[in-house]
Amino acid sequence: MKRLGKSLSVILAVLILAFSVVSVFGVSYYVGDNKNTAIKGFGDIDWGIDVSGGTSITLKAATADEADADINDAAQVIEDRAVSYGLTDYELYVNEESNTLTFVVPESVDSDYSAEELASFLTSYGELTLRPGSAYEDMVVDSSNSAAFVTPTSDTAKSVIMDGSHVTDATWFEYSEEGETYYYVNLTFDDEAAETLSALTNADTGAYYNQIISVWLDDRMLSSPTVSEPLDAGALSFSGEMYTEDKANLYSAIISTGTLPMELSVASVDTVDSTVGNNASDIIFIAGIVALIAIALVMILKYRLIGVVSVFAMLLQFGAVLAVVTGFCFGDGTFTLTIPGAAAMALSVMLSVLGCVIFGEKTKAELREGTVLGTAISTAIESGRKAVFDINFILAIIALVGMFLFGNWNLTFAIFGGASASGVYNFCFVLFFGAVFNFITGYFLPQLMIRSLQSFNAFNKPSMFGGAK
Amino acid sequence: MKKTVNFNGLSKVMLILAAVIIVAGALVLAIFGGGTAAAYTAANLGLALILKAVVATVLVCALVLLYFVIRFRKDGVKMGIFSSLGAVVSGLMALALCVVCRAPLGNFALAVVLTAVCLSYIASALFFNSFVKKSSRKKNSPAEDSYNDAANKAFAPLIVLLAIFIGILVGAFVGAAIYGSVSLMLYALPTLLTAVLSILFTLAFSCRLYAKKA
Repeated sequence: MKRLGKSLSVILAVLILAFSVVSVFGVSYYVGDNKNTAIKGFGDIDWGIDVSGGTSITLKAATADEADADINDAAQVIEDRAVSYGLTDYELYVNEESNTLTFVVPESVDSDYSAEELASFLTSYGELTLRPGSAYEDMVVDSSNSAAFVTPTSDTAKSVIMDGSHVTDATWFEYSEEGETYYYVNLTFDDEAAETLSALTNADTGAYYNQIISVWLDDRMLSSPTVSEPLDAGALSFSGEMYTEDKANLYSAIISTGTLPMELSVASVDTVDSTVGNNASDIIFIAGIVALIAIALVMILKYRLIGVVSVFAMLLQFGAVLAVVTGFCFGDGTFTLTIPGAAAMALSVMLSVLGCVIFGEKTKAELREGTVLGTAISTAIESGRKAVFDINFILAIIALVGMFLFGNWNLTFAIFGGASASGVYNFCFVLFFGAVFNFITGYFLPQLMIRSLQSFNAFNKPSMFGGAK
Repeated sequence: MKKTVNFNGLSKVMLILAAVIIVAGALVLAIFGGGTAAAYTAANLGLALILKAVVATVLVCALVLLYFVIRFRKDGVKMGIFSSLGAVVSGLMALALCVVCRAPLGNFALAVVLTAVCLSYIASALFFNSFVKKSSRKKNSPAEDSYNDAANKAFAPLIVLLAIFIGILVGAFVGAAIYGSVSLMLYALPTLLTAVLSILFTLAFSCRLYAKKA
C-alpha cells in the first residue's frame, strides 16, 4: 500500500484547525469605535424569521368597494416582489375573512433598509410616476440614513408625464467611472410611451429637454434627473447620490412587478418573536459544540486513528459549509440561515463523519478476518469509496432539485407562480454545498490522512485502527 | 460473533408500522388540522407549493433513477424505483409523525421531512453497494441470506450515524430546555422517530423488495 509522508497529516491538521477556527469565530478589528469585519464568523450570520424573529406588517383593503378585489392577487404581487428582490426568507399570510394580508421580514435581513422599512417598500402600492420638476413637501431621513424626499407639491404634484403602466421592464445595472461605482435603475417603456417620451425630450421641440423629470414611487421621490439628451430608445435610466446595489435592486423589483391590484392601508406593524423561542441561535451554537465534542469522543473511542481523522474531516466540513453560509471574506451580508438550513448543516457534518465510519467499519471487518493492516485499509478505502460517492451524488441531486424549484428563480417562478418555500431552499442550499465538500472531507481527506498517519511507526498497528491488540 | 439484525423478519413489521403512522397522520390532519400558525395561508399559494413538492418528488426520483442506471447499468432501474419508494414513504412518515406529535407544520417540519428523505437514500446507497458486492462474491448463496448480510453491512455504519444524530438531537434538546424553547422541544420526538424509522423501513422493506426482484 502506498504511504504518504508523515508531514502531510500534520500540515493538513494544522491548516484544518486554523481554517475552522477562523470560519467559526471570524476575524475582525477595530478602527476607533468602528468594527471592521475581515472574515465573517458564526456570530455574523443573518438568521431567518424562525431564529431571529422579524417585523410583520398587516395590510387591509382600504375601502369596502375595493375589498371586493381579490386580496390573493395582491399577495401574489408582493410575493413576486420579494422573489424578484431576492429575499430568501419571508412569510406571507392572507386572511380572506378579514381581507387582510400579513407580510413578515426577518429582523436580521440583509438590506440597507430596516426590516420594517423594507416590508413597507415591498407591500407599497408601487405606483411609478414621472413628473415635471422636483418640488417636494418634506424631507425625512430613512432607515438607511439617506435623505428621502416625500409628497410632490406645486407643478410636480399637478401633472404626471408618464405612469408605470407603460413600463414593460425594470432592471438595475452598475456603472464605474474613475474608480467610483454608480448604481442605476433602467426602465423600458412600451412603444406608445417611447414615442411620447421621444417627442417630449426632443432637443429642438421637446418641452422637457434640459428640464428636470422626477421619478416617484407612490409618495417618495426616487430620483430627479435633468434630461440632458433626448430619450429616443424607449428607456430611461436614473440614479441617486446614495444609491447602492441593494436599493437599485429593490426599486427595480417593485417597479417591474407593477402596482398592487388594490390600495391597502397599514393596519398594524408588529415585532414577531422567533418561532423557536428566544436565543435560538445560542441553542444552535451550544448544540453544535456539544454534538461536535460528543461525536469526536465516540469516533475516537470506536475507530481510534480513523476516529481522529474523522474529527478533522468534520471540522473541515463544518468550517467550509459555514464559510459558504457567511460568505467568509466576500460581500457584506450573509446567507439568511433558518432552522432547516441549520439542520442541513448538521446533516452535512454527519456526512463527513459517515465517510470515516464506512472506512472504519470496513477496516475493522477486514482486520477481524485476519487481513494484514495495510491490505485491510486499502480494501476498506477501495470498497467504501463507491458508497461515499453514491451518497454525495444523490444528496447533491436532491439539493439541486430543491434549490431549483423552491428558490427565487424567475424560470420556476414563471412556471409555478411566485410561491417559494424558503425552508426547503435553505435546507437544499446548505445540503448542496455539504454534499459537494463531502467529496473532499468524506472521501479524499480521510484517505490522505490515514495513509499519511500510517507512516508513523507508533500508529502502524491494528489496534490503532479498531482491531485487536 | 457479531450481532446481526434479522431484516427479513422486520420487513412486514415495518410495512405495517409505516402504514399505521401515515394513516394516523392523515386522520389527525383531517380532524384537527396541521397545527400550523399559518392556517390561513392563501389557498392559491398553498396549491402552488403542493404542486412544486409533487414536481420536486417526481424530478428527484427520475434523476436518482438515471444516476443508478448510469452507475449500476441494468440493475439501476430497480434500484432507482425501490430507493425512491423508501424515500417517499420515509418523507410521508416524517410528515405524519410531526402531525401526530402536534408539531406545527412549519419550517422545522420541512427539515424533518427532508432529513428523512436524505437518510433513506443514504441507507439505500449503502445497501446497494453491499448487495452488489455480496451477490458477485456469493452467487450460489440463497437470496434472502445475501439480502440480510448486505442489509446488516449497510446498517453497521448507519447505527453509528444514528448515534451521532441522536447526540446532535440531545444537544439541541438540552439547549432548548435550558432556554425554555418549548416549540423546539416539540420536534425532538418526531425527529428521532423519523430518523430511526426511515432507515429501518428502507433497509427492511424497500431494499428487501429490490433484493427479491434482483
